[in-house]
Amino acid sequence: MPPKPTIKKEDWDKRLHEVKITKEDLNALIMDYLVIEGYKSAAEQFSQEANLAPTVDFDSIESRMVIREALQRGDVEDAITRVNDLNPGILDTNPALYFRLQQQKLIEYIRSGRIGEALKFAQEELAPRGEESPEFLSELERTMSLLAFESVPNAPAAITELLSPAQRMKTAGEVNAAILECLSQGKEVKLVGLLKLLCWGETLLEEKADFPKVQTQVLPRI
Amino acid sequence: MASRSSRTSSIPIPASTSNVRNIENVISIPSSSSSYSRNRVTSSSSLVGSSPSLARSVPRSASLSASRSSLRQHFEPRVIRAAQPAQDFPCPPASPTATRRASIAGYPAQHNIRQRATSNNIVIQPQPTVSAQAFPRPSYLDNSSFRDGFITEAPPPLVPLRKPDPSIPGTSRQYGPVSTLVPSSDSDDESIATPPPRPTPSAAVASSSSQQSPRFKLPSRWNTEDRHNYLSISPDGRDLTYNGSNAPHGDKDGAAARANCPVPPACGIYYYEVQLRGKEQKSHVSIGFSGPNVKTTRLPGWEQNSWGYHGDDGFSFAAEKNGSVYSQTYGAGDYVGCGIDFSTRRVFYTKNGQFLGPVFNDVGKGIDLYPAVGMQQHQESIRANFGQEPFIFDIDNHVQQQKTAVWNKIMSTPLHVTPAIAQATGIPSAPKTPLSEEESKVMLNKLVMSYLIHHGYAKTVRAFQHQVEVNLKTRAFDAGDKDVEMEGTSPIKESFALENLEHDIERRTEIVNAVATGDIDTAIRESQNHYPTVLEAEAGLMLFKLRCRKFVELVLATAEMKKGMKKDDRLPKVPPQSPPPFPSGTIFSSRSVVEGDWLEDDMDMDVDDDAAGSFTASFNGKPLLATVPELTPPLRHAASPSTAEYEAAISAAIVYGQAISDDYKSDPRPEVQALFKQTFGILAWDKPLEAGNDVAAFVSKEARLALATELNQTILKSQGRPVKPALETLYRHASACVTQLGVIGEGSAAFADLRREFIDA
Repeated sequence: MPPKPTIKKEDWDKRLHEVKITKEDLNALIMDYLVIEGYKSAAEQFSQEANLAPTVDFDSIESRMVIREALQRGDVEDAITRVNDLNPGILDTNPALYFRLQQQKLIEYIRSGRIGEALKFAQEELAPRGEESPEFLSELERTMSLLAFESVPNAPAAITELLSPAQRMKTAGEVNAAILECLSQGKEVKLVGLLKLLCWGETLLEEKADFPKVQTQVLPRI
Repeated sequence: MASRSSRTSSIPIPASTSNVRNIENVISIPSSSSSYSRNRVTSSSSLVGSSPSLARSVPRSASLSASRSSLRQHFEPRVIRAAQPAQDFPCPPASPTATRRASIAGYPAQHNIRQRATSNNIVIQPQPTVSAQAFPRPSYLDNSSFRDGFITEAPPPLVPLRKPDPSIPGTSRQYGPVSTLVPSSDSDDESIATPPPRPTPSAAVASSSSQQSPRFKLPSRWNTEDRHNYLSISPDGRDLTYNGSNAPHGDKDGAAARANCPVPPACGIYYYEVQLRGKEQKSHVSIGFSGPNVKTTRLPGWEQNSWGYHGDDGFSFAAEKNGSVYSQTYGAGDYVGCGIDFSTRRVFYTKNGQFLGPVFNDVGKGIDLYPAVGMQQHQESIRANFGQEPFIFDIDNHVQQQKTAVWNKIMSTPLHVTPAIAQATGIPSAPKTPLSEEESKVMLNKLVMSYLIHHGYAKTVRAFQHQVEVNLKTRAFDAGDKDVEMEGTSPIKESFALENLEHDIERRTEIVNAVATGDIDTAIRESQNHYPTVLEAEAGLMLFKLRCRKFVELVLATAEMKKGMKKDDRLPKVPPQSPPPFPSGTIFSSRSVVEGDWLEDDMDMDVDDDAAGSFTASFNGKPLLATVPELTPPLRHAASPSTAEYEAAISAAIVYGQAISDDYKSDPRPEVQALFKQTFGILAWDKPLEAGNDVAAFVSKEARLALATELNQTILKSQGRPVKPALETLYRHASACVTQLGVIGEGSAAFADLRREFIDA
């Protein structure tokens, strides 16, 4: 193996400046983010201020966001109703997503201490689904064990994380993606992909070559 | 790679990039860009039949020679630029001896081959059409993010080197004198490439060329200089024929040849096919790859740094004597394909269009890898297809699948704060710790917010801010105390101190717009009111630049008046509001004295009313027309200005210039003196906007926009904000990482096509 090559600062700076990127390109990335993440009014303003033709119907952003908000505040029933109003096919054709929503519903029962309802719901609705696939079953078991740890302060993180806001966001994110897909819009935020690519590329490059370390200049917070 | 390019340079057509650049360097650089812009102007005026603008653009004072010589100076950077890209050749150079040998060989050597071939009674194909033909890039290579950099034998077309990119409006833009005064630029610039930070002025000009992507040469023929004596090569370079002894084959009689250049890993996947033309059903042929120094007396796969698939037994060989079971045998009439996947460093073969599966590991790490074929049977013959013809195997589909697999892998990388992200966002670097979903979201919001603030999208900022806060509150409320605690310990927090931000954005946008529309007075006044430190920074450099621009505006206005006077003598007046019938402003309309307007008429050949829209899109706090230019008194006359008024305007401009001179004449900074000289120099031109070369660029709308950008950045900098939006910095980093990885031989970089995935998609 040859020695690890070293990239000179000038060369690296040159590369950085050779990158072709325009303000319009970046504006499109921003718009993509605002639309997919559901920042409706920001997307509308941006469309005007940056002179960008709307890529989607801004109202569809709104309905997605209402569903997302319902999930984030724990109102799973409302979310399911609204998804079905939007397009019944979304849940019909996506059993995993439907299971995820029901699991979330179970979590919300347990969170609010409605144990009786939780058990009834689990037995009537979820257990049959658990028989469908081992994956569903293991998720169901994980959720049920919340009951066992309810009053124990140091329950395993793998269990308690089900009660975290991140779990709600995760469910909401999956529903959002499914709706976007059904509206045949991109579901992955390009900005996220870009950052992932950067994480991949920068890490790999560090392994392969010594390249100029960026100055550790911490800028003031925005 | 340098050596490889010199090898091809001996072929009649100049083949290597470095050579081409040199040629351009010698022949055409000094005239290329200047003649281009001059032609534009000339043709436009001759179209109308008015007096030729060239004649009128003649300097009117003795400063003629001075400005000429300064022009020449400004061209030098271009010459240097042309020489530069040679560094971009990414492949490591082969041994110096190879270089020397190659540079003598080339074309004459081909004659030798032909003679030798003839003496061996080999059928020769007609000569003129077959020698070292360039061929289009094989379509499977479209999947590589480096696709535009691949070259075969042909020289890259000369024209695009000089032709301005049609996608850029205002193609006659030149960065020469303007950009040397602009410390750095960014996507505000509306141009494709930004001027790099420059150790030398030459680098500044380099970015205006769109030919900066790395170049990679593809194998295109067997190398007459890199083969065993027993093998003869057809004139088109694709056939190999064994002319060794008639004796039963033995290891001693192995004879191999390598292609004319190594395979660039930037291909991602590289593939070539070989047709067996011998009579044997199980050919004594080995097809594969080998390093540059592997003996040609040995079949690929026997020696270290070589890999081969043998036809007689179907075994695969990787530096081994006996081989390993791999696949079917092959022989007469078969098409055997051989590919390498640089993202996995594995080789694969195909036979008659069928995939035979991957084989070998860690192929070619750290060495150059050449397509190589060896044979050991009398009258055995093969013909290679390096992409000159369609392949038998569906390689396009195969590459697409691999590309998708690599891309999915890249997209499964967990988000973390790399040093580059840390630098751009101010979030502490944590290369090993994946971000939680919540943290990722906060980081993304931060990126988006800072981008919107940077470009002054005030209303969007407000709307976005509001929604982020609402979401945050909702979540905090739902999650209760626990969540708030979590937020507190996270290194990434979501809070925007936007109290004064909105006003700040509006003020900044107003100032930047003022410069962009030529209303320098407003810009100076408002900057003094709100950002005094900006004007004072670097001993008043920014203020100096603004004042110089103000002077330019005054002079341009006088030029416009003069034009009006001349037209008035001969032509009937045009109603004020009607658009000029001819593009170059040859017919005076009163509208065109208004600052900001003349630029559209004069600079843009394709004048249309939307041209001003780019400003509106750029800085959006206020609509473009909200800033009313302050006109100096003589300019207020709508109709034809009199000679007296014209002279008054000239004197006013000169008085203004003298004031600048008084304030800065003792400033020792060369850049200040240079800019001052250049600023005053425009007086020498009757029509600065139509004066070819650097003068037109210096006074152009683009230069004014660049100044607006610079002022924006200086204001942001004075507030401790980065001069480029973090998002842009990160995009540049991501793209540069991919390019760099491709150049150092990391094959998966070829499938990390961020432009196609994120921008063009």
